Amino acid sequence: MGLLRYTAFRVVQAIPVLIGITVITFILANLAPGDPVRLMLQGQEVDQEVIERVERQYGLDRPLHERYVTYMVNLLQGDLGHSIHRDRPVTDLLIQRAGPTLLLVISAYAFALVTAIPLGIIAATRRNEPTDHVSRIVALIGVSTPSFWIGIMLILIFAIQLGWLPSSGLVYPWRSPEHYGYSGYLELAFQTIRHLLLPMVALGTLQMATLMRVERTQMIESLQGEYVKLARAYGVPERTILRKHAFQVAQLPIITIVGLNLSTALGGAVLIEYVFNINGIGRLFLEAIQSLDYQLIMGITIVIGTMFVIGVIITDISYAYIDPRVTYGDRD
Amino acid sequence: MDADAGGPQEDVEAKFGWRYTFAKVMQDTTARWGLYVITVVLLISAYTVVDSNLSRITFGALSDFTFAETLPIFEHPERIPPPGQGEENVPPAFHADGSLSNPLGTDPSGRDYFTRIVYGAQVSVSVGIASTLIGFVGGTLIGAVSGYYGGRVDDVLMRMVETVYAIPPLILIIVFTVFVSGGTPDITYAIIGVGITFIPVFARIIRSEVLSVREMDYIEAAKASGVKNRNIILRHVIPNSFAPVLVYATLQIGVTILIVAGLSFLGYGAQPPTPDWGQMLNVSHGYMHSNVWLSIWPGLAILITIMGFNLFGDGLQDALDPRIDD
Repeated sequence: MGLLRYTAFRVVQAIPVLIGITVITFILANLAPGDPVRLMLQGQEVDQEVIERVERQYGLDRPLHERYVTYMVNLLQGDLGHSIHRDRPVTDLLIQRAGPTLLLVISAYAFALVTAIPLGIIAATRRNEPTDHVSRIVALIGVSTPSFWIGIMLILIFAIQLGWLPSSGLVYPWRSPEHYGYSGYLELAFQTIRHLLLPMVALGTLQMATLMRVERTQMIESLQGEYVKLARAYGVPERTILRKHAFQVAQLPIITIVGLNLSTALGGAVLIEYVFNINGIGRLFLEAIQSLDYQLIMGITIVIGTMFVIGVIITDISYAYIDPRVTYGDRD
Repeated sequence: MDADAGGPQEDVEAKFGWRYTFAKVMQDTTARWGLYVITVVLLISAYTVVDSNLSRITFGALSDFTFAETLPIFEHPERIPPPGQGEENVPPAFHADGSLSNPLGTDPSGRDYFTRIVYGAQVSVSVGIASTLIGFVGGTLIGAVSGYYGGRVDDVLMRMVETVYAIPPLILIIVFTVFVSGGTPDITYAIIGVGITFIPVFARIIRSEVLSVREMDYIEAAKASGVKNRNIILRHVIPNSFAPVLVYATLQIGVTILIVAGLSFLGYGAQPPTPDWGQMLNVSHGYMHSNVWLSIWPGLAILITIMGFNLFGDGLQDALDPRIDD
């Protein structure tokens, strides 16, 4: 009950932010000097009459606030407008490209969590020993290296020099093996992983390094807690203390960081999709920017902003669900 | 202060103030190493400013003076050598085909790569500091006003800040840069864009500080003696909430350089022929198969610079955080 109410509360709280995202995108898209149709034509000579007709067709001749209201009304019905350049609904384009991006971001997070948590714990339990120093240096390099450069280096080493892994594109596990000419689902799975490996590591390294630093500090703090001292005094084995007492408490901030870093990960996906030629939302965004496809740019920005807001809400709620100390509303 | 007051005061070590902070920071190995790296990068950028002016002189009116031509160590980083003079895509010196006159080889236009890497420091550092400053000043003002007044003002400002925060910086900056510049992106727009997107984080930190500062007695005293709100914010609230934001700003310079590198790599930051590391990686991306070296050096330069700022920021945090005790 309390959790349900908290969820509802968080969703309501997010509404002004979601509206804000649409306002910012709308204003930015209309900040451009000159009229959008001319800007899109990029210097091509066209009759004034044609421009006016296109403007009328897309409602560009009406005042800004009227256009915003129309846009919002359509948005609430799931219509993100029509891409003039591609002559297709923006919603269709986004749905088509969402899969690869989600596959990439989720696998990058999986990689980051699987590596960061054990490394952070090892570093914390062997504080100020060589293992700790090495892992701290690795984490420091991880947060200081541009993800796209990691991608370039991985391509240079594993694709160009060694020739072990492919350097571009993804294989989508939701397609049939026949589509790629593979013998069966086993090969499809194998090829999916092969293609995903390099972009996943490139995008996940920053997350891994960030999470590892947090995990280490949290574990150190948690191991110094009163309850750990008490457990030690009772003679509870160190392994059990680590697993049962210290570990669980230390995981809570990790959840928050995962949610907040979603923004960095989605931005990083733009760069990684560019480096690895992955046809996701990130590449779509770059293509839209290049052709100054207003409707598409606005659609992508709004969808990505919304994805981030939803991500933060989910982490907040799971935080409340997991942490028994936090109660929201009447739960008894 | 009285002259004889210095004696007894030295015995009691002041645990605040700039000198104490600096000494504490220098005790921290991490912070010290970070400071060394930052100093080297700053010195290199400072030198290139001098050097570029010298080379401009040699190409300009003073080219008659022979001594002027020997002064600059580096060639002009942006000047493409005329046909037949500079060889293109020369590998670095340790390679069999390399030579010491181009220690890191040359780029696809025949320019010395080492010169361009060295000049890149200037671009990265100034971009990093400039956009962090914008975020810092903007965030401090918004955060201070929001925290000091509270209530409706706080609600509105914080929702605005959260909104900017919700859109991934890279995407927001590209949209901003492209639309505001009308389709011709430039490093100036990138700096402003990055600065604006970092206002939220600064605003949040200063706001939480201000929330505790505004309850202080001296604020009450200032209010009682009729000081205007604006002056209270500028003279009392902001100076007293400063320290944590300053630490954060140091860390933020590294993040800023990272984002601008990404922007330039995609072609929405520094434009050619500017010797910017991200921009150089953009060019070298097309030569990944033929000239591997072009992709390595700029990335290493970015890594080292950002690591310097991160090391210093980490050390600063440790040194100033009273909770962590080794």
